[in-house]
Amino acid sequence: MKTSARLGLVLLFAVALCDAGLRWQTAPSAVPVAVVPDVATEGLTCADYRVVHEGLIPMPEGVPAAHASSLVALPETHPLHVHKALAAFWFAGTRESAADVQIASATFDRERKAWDTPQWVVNRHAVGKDLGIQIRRIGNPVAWADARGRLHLFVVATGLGGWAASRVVHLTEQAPMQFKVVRTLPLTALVPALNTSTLVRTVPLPLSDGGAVLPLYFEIGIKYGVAVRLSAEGEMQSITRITQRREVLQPTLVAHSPTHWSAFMRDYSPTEMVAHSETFDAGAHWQDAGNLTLSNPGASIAALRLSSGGLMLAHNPAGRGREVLLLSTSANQPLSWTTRTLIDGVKADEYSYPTLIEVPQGPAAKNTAPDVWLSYTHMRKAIAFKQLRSNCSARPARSQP
Amino acid sequence: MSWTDMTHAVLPHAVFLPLWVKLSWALVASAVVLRLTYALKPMLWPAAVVGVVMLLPRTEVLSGYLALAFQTPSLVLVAWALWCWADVLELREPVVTTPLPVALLGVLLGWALVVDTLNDWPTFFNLQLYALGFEAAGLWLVLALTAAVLLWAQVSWRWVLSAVMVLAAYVLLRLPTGNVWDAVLDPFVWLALHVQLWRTWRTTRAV
Repeated sequence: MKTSARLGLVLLFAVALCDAGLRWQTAPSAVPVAVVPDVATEGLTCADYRVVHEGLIPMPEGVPAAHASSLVALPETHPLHVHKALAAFWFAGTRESAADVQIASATFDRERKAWDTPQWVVNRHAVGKDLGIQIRRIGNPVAWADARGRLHLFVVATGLGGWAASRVVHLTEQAPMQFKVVRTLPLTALVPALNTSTLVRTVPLPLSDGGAVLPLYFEIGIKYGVAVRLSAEGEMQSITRITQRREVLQPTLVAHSPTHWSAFMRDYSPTEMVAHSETFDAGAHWQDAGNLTLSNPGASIAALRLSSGGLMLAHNPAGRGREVLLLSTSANQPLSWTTRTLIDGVKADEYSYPTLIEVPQGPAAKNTAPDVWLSYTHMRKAIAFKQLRSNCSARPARSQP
Repeated sequence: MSWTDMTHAVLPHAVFLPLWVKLSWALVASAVVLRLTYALKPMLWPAAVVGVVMLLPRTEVLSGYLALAFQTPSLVLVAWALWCWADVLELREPVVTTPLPVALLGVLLGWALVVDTLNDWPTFFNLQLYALGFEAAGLWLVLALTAAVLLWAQVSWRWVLSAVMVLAAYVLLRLPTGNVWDAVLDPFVWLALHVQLWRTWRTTRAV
């Protein structure tokens, strides 16, 4: 063997040792599981919710179009928590995919029980400057609060080729509601996809270590969901495909137990049913589980594991499409859905792209069930919201396994 | 230390990324200009101008548009760019040093990543290939294959040095994305490997 080859082997061994050392230094303490409510009897699911407050979230002045909202409850460690209950983020501009589209945000004031004046928080020029990359358009935002209460935004940004050549940009909060770019998430290979065609839409699933699982999807002709595990600080830990189907997108995640999770997905096939994947090992491996009994007209859906134990799903039905917005509830396991109509519009109306989160009723309301907040696109012109309150009084504790 | 300690991704520090986009594309673009112009007339200045202009403040637009289309080059492409400059400055003829097995493996890896990206593995073989590139196992696979090439193929000292430097830079800086496949392969490298295989096949046929 030549000297150069011998030396090469020694150096490769040194590289392997170096990698092992560096990974060991940054290794997570344990594989985190999902945060789930500690409900004694799964059968006693409270599905009785009434709308206590609803309306439109104010739009930035002179902006005619809005779409794809995301909600986040401001945690106790967030500087605005005392006065603001939650924040909404959405994209707004002349129209979807217009060059002037920016990410708008508004917070909900606890005392006034009203939304504050919206502000712009992200624009494509600032994102491009921070990344050193030209950004053609920006789109769907998703918000999440990390273990320290700091907000993170994941925003779709397009490269050459429009939405089918999208990337997901990660931003973190530097000061309250002021965001700075961290990076473009590496979600697909440079060969052949040039790290494009991956988008984000639905809210993350919280984990016991303060991290989360962020659902995303690949979309360039074929469509499938993926899940990215985030650390407590919001750093990407891993990526996993959650389905082998190629016509489902925009997964929304719920945890049935700390390790048994479901992903419900928008269906782009002629079947027009909500697609379903499951994992039984906290997201390490996923398998397709067929379809739910709920129809889907190729429209985004939102799912939520309720503190009362059950599941809630906001969706549009096949047949009538986005002019009708439905709210379905089910016991945690087995799934058995009861559906009510939230909005019944007329042809050409649009009530779509729902987001569901739970928000405590107030800083002092420790013993009451949290409210469910729903936001959705209203006619592509604004973002609407509904605050839903449980008619069942008991509040279970959240487990930290 | 357990196996799960080795499966999480380690991404490059965010501070490096805008600098890397600018520096890497400046190096690659100047090397391409160098190879194109030097073949016609031995002069350095057109390539040097391209490199310097792309590194100047407020010229992010040039590297930015390359990144808009291609994100970042791989470490292998950057290593090629550095060798281009070194060859010209030391008055050496450019040479192809990639061993044939490596070219073949690179082409196959690229096609496997295509299948992986399109989620087109057979149902019984749900390989998460791109995800593997974030794990230690992905790097160790690359290291093992590189070691095998060193043991069983005739390689030049330049290729040995390049391989070690690329993998060491990946481990220390995690550039360009934290994924080892992105460190060794990008669309340009993949295309070049196809060309190398095609040329080899043509030469073999001619003989």
